[in-house]
Amino acid sequence: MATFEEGYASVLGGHLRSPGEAGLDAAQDLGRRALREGLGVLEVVVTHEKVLAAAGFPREPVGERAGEEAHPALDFLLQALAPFDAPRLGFKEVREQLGFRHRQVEQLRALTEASFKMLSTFDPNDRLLLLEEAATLSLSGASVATAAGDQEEQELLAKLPPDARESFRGFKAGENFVRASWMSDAGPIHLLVARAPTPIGAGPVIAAWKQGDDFSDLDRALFRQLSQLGSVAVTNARLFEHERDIAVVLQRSLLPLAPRGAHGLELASCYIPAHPGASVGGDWFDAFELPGDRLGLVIGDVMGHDVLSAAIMGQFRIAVRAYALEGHSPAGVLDRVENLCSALVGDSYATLLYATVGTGGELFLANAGHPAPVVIGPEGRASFLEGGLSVPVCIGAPAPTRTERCALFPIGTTLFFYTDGLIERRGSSLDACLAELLNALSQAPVPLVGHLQAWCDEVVASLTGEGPEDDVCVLAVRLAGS
Amino acid sequence: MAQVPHTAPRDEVRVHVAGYEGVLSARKAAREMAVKLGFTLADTTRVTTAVSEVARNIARFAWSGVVVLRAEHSHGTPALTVEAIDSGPGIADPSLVVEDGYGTADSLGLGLSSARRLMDEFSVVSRAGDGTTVKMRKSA
Repeated sequence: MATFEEGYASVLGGHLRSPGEAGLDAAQDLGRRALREGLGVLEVVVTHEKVLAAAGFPREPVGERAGEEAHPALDFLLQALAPFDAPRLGFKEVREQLGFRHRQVEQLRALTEASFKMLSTFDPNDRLLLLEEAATLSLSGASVATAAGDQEEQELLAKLPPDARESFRGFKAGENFVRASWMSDAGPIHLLVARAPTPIGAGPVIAAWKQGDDFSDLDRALFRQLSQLGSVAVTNARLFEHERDIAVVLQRSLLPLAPRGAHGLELASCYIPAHPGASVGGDWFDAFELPGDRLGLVIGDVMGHDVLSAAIMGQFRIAVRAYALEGHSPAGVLDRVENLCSALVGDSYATLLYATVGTGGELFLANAGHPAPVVIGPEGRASFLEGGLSVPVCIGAPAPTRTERCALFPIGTTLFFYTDGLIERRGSSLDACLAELLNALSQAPVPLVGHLQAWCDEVVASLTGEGPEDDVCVLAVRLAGS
Repeated sequence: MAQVPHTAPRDEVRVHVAGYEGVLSARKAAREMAVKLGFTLADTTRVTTAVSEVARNIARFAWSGVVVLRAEHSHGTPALTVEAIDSGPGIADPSLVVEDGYGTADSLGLGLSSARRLMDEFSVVSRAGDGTTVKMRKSA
C-alpha cells in the first residue's frame, strides 16, 4: 500500500491537472485516512507543502470568499483537513457538555444541602429562609422570593418585577405552577411561581425570576423540586410547632408555683429540667400553708425524667397536697398516697419527702426513699437530717410501715431539700456526692434574712456547673423568727 | 454580517443520488450554493463535506435518494438548508448514528456525527424499514 504522502501526491496531482469534485472528494478520504492513521493537522499541511514543492506548482493567491479566486490546491488542502474539523467541534461540544454537567452537579448538590439544612431546624421561618437561599444558589442569576401565607403573598407580589401581576393572578386562580416570559424595556424576563400541595395543606409560595436567557429544563425541574421540598419542610415545621405549643402548655400546667412563705418562715426554690426542649420532668416540690402557722413542704422524684414521668409527677403532686391539706401527719400522707397512686402510676414509683414545719422550729418529717435533707445551723454548720426513712412509694412491695422523725430547730436554721440531680455526678459514688454537697453548704455563707432565694440560686449554680445531667429541684426554708 | 449577493441564487436545487456520481453532484451543488450565498472558504468546505457525508450515506446504504438544497435568508443572514431523503432500510435508533464511533471503530470524523458537527442544525428522522430523512442547516 502506498504511503500517505505517495497517496496524497497522486490524488493532488490529478486534482491540479483537472480540478473537480472527484478530486476534492478523494481529498476528504485522504483526511479520513490521516485521522485513521493517527496523523495530525500539522502532518497533513507539511505533506501538502512537500508535494506542492516537489511538483513545482506556483503559489496561489487566495481571496476572502470561496468564489473569488480559483485555488484548487487550497481547496484540496481544506477538504483534506475538513474531517479534522468534526473532532475539534466534537471536543468543544463535549467540553460544553462537561461544563453543563458540572453545573447540574452543583445544582443538585445545592438541593441536597438545602434538604439537610432545612431538616436541621424546626423553625418554619428559618426553613423558609433556607428554601430561598437554596433556590438562589441553585438557580444562578435568578432572584428568589417566598411567601408563607396569604398575607405574605401580597408582599411577595410587591417584590416581583413589574408586569408579573398578570401571571401571578393566574397562579392565584388555583394553578400550582406558573411559568411566564415577557419583554420588558431591559430585555426578556422569565418568571417561575410554584406552590406544592401537601397532605396537610398548601405549602409556601416560591417565585424565581431572571432577565436574559430563559430557565433551563433542569432549572425548572429543580425549582419544582425545591418547591415540593419547601412545602413539606415548612408545613411539617408548622405542625411540629403547633404540637410543641400544646406540649408546652400542658407541661407548664404541671410546674410548681413559686411557693409563698408564711409568717416567720422564708422560702426559696429552684427547678431545672434536664431534658432539652422539655420544661418539666419527674422532679417536683410543693409548699403550702397549714393551720397553726405551719408550712407543708414536699419534695419528690418520679423515676425517669421524660414526659411520662412529668405526667405521673402531676398525679403524685396533687395526691400529696390533697392528703396534707386534710391534716394528716407526714407518715399518714405517705400511706394514703401509696394507696391512691399504686393503681394510677403503673410500673412507676417515686421517692417522696413530706414535712411540716412551724414558726417555732418544730418539724415533723416522713421520708419515702428520698435523699436526706440538709440542716444548716444559724452558725453555718451543715449536717444531714436523717430519720423518718422508709421505702419509696409505689414500688409494689407489701404495704410498708412509714415512720416519722420530729425535731426542733433554733431560729436562723435553714432546711435544704433537694433531688438527686443536684448531687449525682457520673463516675462519683453517692457517698462522695453527698460529701461534696455537705461541703458546699458548709462553706457557703449563712443566708441573710430576706435573701434566701439569692443564696439558693448561688448554691445550685455552684453545684450544677454548666448544666445538670438530671432534673434538679431544690426547696429551702429558713426559720426567720418573728 | 455577510452580504447578500446581487445575483440571487436559485432557491432550491434537487440532486438525485444513486451511486458515486450522485455524491459528486451533490457536493458540487452544495459548493456552488454556498459560494453564491457568500459563505467563507472554510464554511464552504464544511458544508460541502457535510453534504458529501449524507450523500455517501444514501449511496452506501439506500442505493438511491435525493438531496435537496435550499437557499434561505433569515433576518438578512443567508443560510443553506439540506434535506437528504432516502427510502432505504432506515435506522432503528437515529440518536445513535449521530454519536461518535457509530458503525466502525475508525469512524472518527466520519458519517452523520461528523456532518452534525460541521453544520449549525441537524436532525435525523428514520424508522427501520421506512427510509431516512436528514435535515441540516448552516448560516453564513
